[in-house]
Amino acid sequence: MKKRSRGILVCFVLVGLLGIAVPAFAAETLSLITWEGYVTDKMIADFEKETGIKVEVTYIANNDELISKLRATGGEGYDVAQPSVDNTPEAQRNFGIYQPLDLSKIKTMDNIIPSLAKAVIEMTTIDGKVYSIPYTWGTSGVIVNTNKIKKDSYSYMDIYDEKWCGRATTRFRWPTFAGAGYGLGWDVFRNFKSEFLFKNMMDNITDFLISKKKCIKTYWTTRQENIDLMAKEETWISQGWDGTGWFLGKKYPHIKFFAPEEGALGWIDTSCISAGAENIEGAYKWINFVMTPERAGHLIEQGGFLSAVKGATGYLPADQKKLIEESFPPEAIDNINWYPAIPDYVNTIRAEAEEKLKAAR
Amino acid sequence: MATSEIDVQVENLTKKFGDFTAVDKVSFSVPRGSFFSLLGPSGCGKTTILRMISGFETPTYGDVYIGGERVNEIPPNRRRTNLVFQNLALFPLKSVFENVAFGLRRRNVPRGEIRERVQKMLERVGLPGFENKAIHQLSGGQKQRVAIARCLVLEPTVLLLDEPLGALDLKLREHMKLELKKLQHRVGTTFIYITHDQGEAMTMSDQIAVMLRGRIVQIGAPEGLYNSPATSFVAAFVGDSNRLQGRVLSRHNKRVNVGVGPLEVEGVSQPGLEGESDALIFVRPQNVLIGSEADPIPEGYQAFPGLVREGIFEGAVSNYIVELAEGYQIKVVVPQASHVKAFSVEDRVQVAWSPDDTFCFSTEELGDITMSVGQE
Amino acid sequence: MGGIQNNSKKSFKPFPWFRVVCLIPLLVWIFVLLVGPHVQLFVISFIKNRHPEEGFYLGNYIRFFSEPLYWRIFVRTAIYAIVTTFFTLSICYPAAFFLAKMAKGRWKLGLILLVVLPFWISELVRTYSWMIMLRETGVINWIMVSLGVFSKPIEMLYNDYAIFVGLSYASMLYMLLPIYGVLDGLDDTLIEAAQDLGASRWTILWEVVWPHSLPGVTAGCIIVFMLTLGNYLTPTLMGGKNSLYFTETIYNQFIVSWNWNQGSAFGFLLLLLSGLFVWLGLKFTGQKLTEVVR
Ligand SMILES: Nc1ncnc2c1ncn2[C@@H]1O[C@H](COP(=O)(O)OP(=O)(O)OP(=O)(O)O)[C@@H](O)[C@H]1O
Ligand SMILES: [Mg+2]
Repeated sequence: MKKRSRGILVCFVLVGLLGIAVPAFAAETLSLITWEGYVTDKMIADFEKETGIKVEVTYIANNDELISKLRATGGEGYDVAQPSVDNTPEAQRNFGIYQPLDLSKIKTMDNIIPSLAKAVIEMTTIDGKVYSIPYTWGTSGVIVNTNKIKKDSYSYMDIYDEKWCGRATTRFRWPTFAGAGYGLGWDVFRNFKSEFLFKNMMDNITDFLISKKKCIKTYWTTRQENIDLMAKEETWISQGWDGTGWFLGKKYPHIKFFAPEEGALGWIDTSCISAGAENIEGAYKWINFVMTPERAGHLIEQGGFLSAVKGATGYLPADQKKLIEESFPPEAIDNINWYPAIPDYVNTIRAEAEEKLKAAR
Repeated sequence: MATSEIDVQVENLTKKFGDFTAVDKVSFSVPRGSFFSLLGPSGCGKTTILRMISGFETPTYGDVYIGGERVNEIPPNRRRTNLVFQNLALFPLKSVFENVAFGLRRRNVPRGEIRERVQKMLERVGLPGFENKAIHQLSGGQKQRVAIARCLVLEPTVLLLDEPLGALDLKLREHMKLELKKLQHRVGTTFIYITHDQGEAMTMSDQIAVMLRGRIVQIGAPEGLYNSPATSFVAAFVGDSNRLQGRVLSRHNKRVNVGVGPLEVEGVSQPGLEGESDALIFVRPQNVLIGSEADPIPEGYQAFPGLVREGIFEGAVSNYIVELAEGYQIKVVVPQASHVKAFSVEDRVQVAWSPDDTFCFSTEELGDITMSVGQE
Repeated sequence: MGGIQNNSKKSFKPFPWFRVVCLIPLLVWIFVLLVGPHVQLFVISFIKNRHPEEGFYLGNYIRFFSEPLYWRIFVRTAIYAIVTTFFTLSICYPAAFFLAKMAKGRWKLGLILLVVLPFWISELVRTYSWMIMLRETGVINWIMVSLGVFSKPIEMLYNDYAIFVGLSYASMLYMLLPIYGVLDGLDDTLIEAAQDLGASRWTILWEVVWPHSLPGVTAGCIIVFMLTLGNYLTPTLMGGKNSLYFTETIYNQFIVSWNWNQGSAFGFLLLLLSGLFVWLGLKFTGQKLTEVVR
């Protein structure tokens, strides 16, 4: 080997070692782990202008992914996390991945819709400490291409109607089981009371879903996939989030979100600070920054999700407001089935059911 | 056209690679059972000729006849020639037996017969009992013999060998030269042999074709090439010779007098040397006599006084380098025998040779000579 | 592996400090990034989920064998991987042969670049581009319907064939390169020698080219088999509703069930079983791992 090439090799090794060390000297950053549509480019740019803090975002496809990521690092590497509230108590009790919030540092607390704030704080108070405040809320229901499927009202069972077999999509995750459960006449969330009842119900729902599997074109995993399938008219009906439906409705007016007859499935997503957060001050700054009515309005407009901030809808364009009102007449809001906090046996049973469904032919 | 006595004949064989002519209008014929060599410097087109005879290259034009039959369109696997490759090309994953049996298998020879013929062939090349050895267990010379056996077992009309000794060391090479010649004698197959080593060609061949830049410059028996080279290149390339450069001073009939520095040398003018031009002179070292200053000079010889600069004694012969004048040296080879006088360095001597043994050529091919033989 | 140069293998002996420098990244890699986490996972695979106080526990492993669901998923995954391996081999072998023995000069370089280029893009993007090609409203359907070959679009995504296409494409390079390597190293004169001795094309392929390329073929097959068995992205995205792949089961255990212990046990079973497959494959074809690695 020539002397020169040996030198080059040594250089490579050194550069490689340096590469590991360099990121440590970067500017102040804030790391978010959240859902697609919960942060916009404009919010990141404005926040950096205001505070000088750079924002990095990691997107998740489901709550379990968020919990696992935090669990794997002991919460390190992320500052602000935005899980759904129903998972938080169980995850916190098992893995301790969040840290208690100092509510006095949240200056925008009064902007939050009181009933949401109360519900979330009650649900996530463990040993007298509060772990979350609400960020957005929304529902799962059905998104329908009304050119293809025209009805006065819709049910979860419409997804599985054989008249449009192969033109439906859902996730193969928990909300699908819950929706189908209500469609089949179970009072799903009441059955959380006992492991036996829950297991029995899940077996029933799973059998039903397996028998209807042929009618599902595919299970969507990301919001974008759901949007593509509906926008390209590869599917006509989908179980999905209201925000996704409104997002689609802006561009394709015949695609609409409906709260099903059995009641939409209501969820609340929250802001938490990770147990291993490195930039705690930055995290509070971010939470205060986003919880103002005009930013919340911007979020609803861009991402299509309902904010937990009072009066955010006041900042919305009229057409979007109309879409939301159409989806939720007053009686539909009363009819929402809110996800309760899950007991510890639910995860295992859920995962088994999901596997069974996916493996079935 | 081709008689039954002729095994291989090529006519006007030409190969062009793009604009470059690698083989240029080559014609020769090889009689049955003879040992024919193609001799020439590296890159002169030897391999290309062999590849056209065996069918791996198509001639740009010209014809190849094997056993009197034109074979231009016949693919290599159906020609009655076999080629021993420059790098031998033994199948590394097969045993000696499998290598030698490979061709017989392709001809669907019965198993028993294959075994018998392979065994016999290995005996003939001096490798009895080597059947189950792996190729990497063989020495260079053994590999070479397996490569030859692999071809000979098919009883080809013609065996083509592309510098098979090229990769061997000097000693093994000397040995294999003789072995190969003996083998050819025994099996009686026609051999066409490529080499750029003139010694090798001289020892083994019945006929040699000397090539330069895609052309054949002379074909003949080794003695013929050695004693009457057709061009200065052949003179320089075949055998050892003293080479002097000068200018023609005068000419009478076939004789010319050439001024070489302060010396004047008389020799035979060869075709191509005309008028009073620059000349290249060749004298074989064996044809030069050496004696003390007082010794008599044979009739008709030209003599030059000189000083012994080097004496190299190698058993049967002695080599002397004698300086005739500043910068003009001549090599002399004499037998080492009790009746031949020996000299030592710094002795004053006299060297002499006959003008009949002095070939005078034009300097036309000087470039090729220095390229392939080197500077004198 | 030329005929004559075989005994001339010499080992490369530079200064000792140089050897140490060369080995540092490898050792760091092996210990910090490979051995460390695996040891941890190995340990937790013998612990009961949420009940570490119970000590040594084999249930995670027993569950794999007692629950037919997991067995079935695993067998299905292995079949996918085997089919993909053979499919990739049957496509890559001729391609590698063409690249190594028939393509010349610029052509060759261009073709190799063409093969390698897509692999500079992330696997995710490559998978998505396949989805854009294959989906019902995708490029292929559009072309076929425009040309009148199909009367209406056909769903080509979300089935087993799509998974095979995706997996084969993802592993193409890893099959092509080792085979290209051995074939490129095959001396052309060996092929010519065989021809000279009377062999036909097919005999040459079978007697000379194929045996010579076996180490590359085996290496390619092992890599592709392992990669395919361990692939997560392609089957999940392209297989849609029918794609439950063993890696996804592992993912589900870790992520959905919050059961790392079970997930680790499955992970090690995958490692063990794929090792077993490779061992059987080697045994079956009479190859030795040391030769393949060389
Ligand atoms: N396939 C080819 N394409 C282009 N040029 C070639 C090709 N094969 C040979 N040549 C050229 O033709 C000339 C003759 O080559 P050839 O191999 O016949 O030489 P050779 O006499 O066998 O030389 P050596 O003694 O070095 O083996 C060389 O200049 C070579 O560069
Ligand atoms: Mg040659």
